[in-house]
Amino acid sequence: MTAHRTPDAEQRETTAGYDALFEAATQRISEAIAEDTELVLVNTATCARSVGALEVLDAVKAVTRDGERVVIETGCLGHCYAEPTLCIGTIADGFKVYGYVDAVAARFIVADAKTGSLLSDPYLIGRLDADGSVVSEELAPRVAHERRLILRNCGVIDPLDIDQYVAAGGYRALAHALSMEGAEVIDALERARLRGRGGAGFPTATKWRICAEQETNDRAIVCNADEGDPGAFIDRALLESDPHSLIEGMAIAAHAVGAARGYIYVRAEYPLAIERVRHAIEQARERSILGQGVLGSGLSFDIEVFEAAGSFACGEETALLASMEGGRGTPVPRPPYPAQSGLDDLPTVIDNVKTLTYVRHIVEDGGEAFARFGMPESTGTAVFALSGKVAMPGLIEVPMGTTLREAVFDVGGGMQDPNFEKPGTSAKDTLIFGERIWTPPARDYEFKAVQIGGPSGGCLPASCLDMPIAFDTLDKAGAMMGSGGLVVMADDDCMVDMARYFLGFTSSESCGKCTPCRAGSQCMLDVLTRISEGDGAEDDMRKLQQLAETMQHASLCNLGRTAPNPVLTTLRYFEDEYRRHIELHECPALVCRNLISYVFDDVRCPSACDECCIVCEAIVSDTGYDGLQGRVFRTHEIIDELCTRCGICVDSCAGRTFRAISKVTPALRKGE
Amino acid sequence: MALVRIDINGEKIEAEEGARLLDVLLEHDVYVPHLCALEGEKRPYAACRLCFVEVDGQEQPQCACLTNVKEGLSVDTRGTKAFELAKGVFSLHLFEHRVDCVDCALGNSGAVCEIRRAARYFGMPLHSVWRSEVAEEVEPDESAGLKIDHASCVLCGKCVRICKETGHAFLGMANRGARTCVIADSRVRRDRSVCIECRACMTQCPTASISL
Repeated sequence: MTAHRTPDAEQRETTAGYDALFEAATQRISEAIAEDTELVLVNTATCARSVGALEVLDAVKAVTRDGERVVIETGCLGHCYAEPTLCIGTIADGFKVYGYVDAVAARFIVADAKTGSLLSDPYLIGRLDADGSVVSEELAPRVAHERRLILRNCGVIDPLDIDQYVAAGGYRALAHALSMEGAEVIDALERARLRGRGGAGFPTATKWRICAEQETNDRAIVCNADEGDPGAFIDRALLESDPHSLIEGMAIAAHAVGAARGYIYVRAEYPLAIERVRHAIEQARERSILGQGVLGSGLSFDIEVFEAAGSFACGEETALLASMEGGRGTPVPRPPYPAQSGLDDLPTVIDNVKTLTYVRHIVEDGGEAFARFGMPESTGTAVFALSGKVAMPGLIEVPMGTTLREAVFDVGGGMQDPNFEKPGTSAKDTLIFGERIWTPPARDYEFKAVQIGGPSGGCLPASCLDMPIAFDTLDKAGAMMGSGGLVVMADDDCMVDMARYFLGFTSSESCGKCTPCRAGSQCMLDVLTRISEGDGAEDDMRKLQQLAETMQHASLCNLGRTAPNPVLTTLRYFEDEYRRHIELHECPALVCRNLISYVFDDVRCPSACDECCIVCEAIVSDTGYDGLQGRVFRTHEIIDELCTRCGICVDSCAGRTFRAISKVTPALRKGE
Repeated sequence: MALVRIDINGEKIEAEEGARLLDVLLEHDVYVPHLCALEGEKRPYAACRLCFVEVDGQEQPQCACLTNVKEGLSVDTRGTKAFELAKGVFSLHLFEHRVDCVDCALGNSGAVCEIRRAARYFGMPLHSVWRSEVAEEVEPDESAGLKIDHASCVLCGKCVRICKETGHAFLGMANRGARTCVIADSRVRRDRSVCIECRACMTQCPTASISL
């Protein structure tokens, strides 16, 4: 632990300010919630709302009589596959976590909470642990790897109630930091070797020190919550579930560098996050955690929320500042770095939400404790938004150095379509419906690649599975930590198509300022589109490589420099797939529309339901008569010229154990 | 400002400390292709990415407009690495610039065309792989007075900056990605002011894309 300054009047006052805050909060909470009051925690973050959490909340409230139990809206537990989730229990006895809940299920789950029942048990996914992880036999591999540090409060406390945050130990780190010199706080970060979680991994202590060393009276803190990567939703979850952690981190940063103004730059596409952060800031002002004299100390600091207009390029720090100053969100060359001259030419600390949220844990537990997690050069934990073809997608927090295999197969539950095995579709809840319904078994996919770091990251193949996740190892493999998106891809995902998707994203999100990024990404997109349409030329791969190198070394900002990463990594690890697209005009994953055809198998179609003919005009059916067997049968034909490869015929096929329609590559051409 | 000695392509010259390397190079008749540098600008725009030079002690080529003169600076403007990188970028410029020298106002006025000069420097044939995408998407503002030829514009941004410098800020950038373009629009101005036709932008434009 860092050495304390000799106690003086200000420190005593600060501690008194915190003590009063803590006592008031615990008292208010204990008045409202007794040890044995039944609590229902409903996750109403954006992720859960999209699958009906608000209906669940209404249902729970409808069956709750006054004073019977307390219903609390919380944030995200990280178990996205099981949303909406519901936690029921008492502080004394702990909480049970139910997943896959809907409005109907919520009623009987709440009613049978104490006893448990045949109806509610299939929905039970585990027991809530102190650090917010869900413990059960099935989730044991996940819990074994999880180390919840910044996700600790997520889904457990009420983000709209500052008292709960304070009672959970919140703002103690701020009080502690205020009793230290600013430089001591930075020293603690240095010992923690905290690196920025926004993607580049710049040492946070160095950034803060540069800012603190500038000769000026005024500085600014900006929190970058412009999370624009496809497949990343960590910042949103943090802002919606635990906004006070961020406010505390920013206040500590303000004390450390001597700033009076703070801004949270949130994208306007996160309306709930903005609402909850604004509410949290209001509450913090009421408790004099923000404003004049933070916690009774000499520090004055206030935070404003800045709603971003939603541009991926604005995640770059200089572009972010330009857009905050009212200009076009385009980057300017560095140096000077924002820490030297940033917002309105003031020295500005710009940090990601995750980075700032870590700060309170480092100040409280000490830098050394934080550095014990993870790898020597990448300390602490890493938070990932796990998605794609894994059984249990969601938010995961694991120590740095966890291998990709552990993240995908243990924490993520292995390769499986997450849409299977829900109550109502699996065999174990046959009792609910009274009859055994046959459902297709969950398909096990073969691991193909993991896309890490979004559009700036890369695709790593199975040979990289045992690589520890850390800033430097990912860099070496051609990927990037990025903002923490981790998309798992299986054998039915086409790598060329994937690269094309990400290039399409970066080329449309390029700010358009510098030529290599603007025209280069467009050129690369053209080439990739050509390849995926089967018109690839011999030297297209060399062309891609050349364009990628130009972009990497000539672009103005990191968006352009890292934009070719998805292409470079797929070229490096999946060269064969490109070759097959270009030379054989086939798409092994059966994804690229111009390279596949749908074929109908009359022999395997016994039902003659004609469902496919109804949904698609490109399929024509006819009646035939089998004289030998004496039965009428249906013949189908797919007219290839009319087929748009939408795949609706496959989905409509009534065959449960197989589909009569399948895809083939290369595409059937006329006369073949 | 103190004079310091620097080394350019093996030649020792004296230059002001802190000066922009690109200006020093051009002053001493060392040509480096450049399109977006504006004289006397505090913070370089650095968008054309053509003025790459090799600086001793730096692994990657650096933009001359972003490099400041300091004692002992040693620069190679003809290094293969910098040349190839800039050549790659220039081919992307040709992707956006419609080469139409016969009808070009710049060529007819007898001024030096920076694009032609760069093409000669790189030894590249001047024909564009231009594709019209931007031009059709932007609805021109009839009241604006200025006409902008999006097809030949290379988006160096000089006009926008000079317009801002003269205090009018009548020109601006619109859209993102490949659809980025310069717009002259009275609609973007809150006070509805119009172009005073000072022609500052026209004198700066390296491709003569702006006309009245």
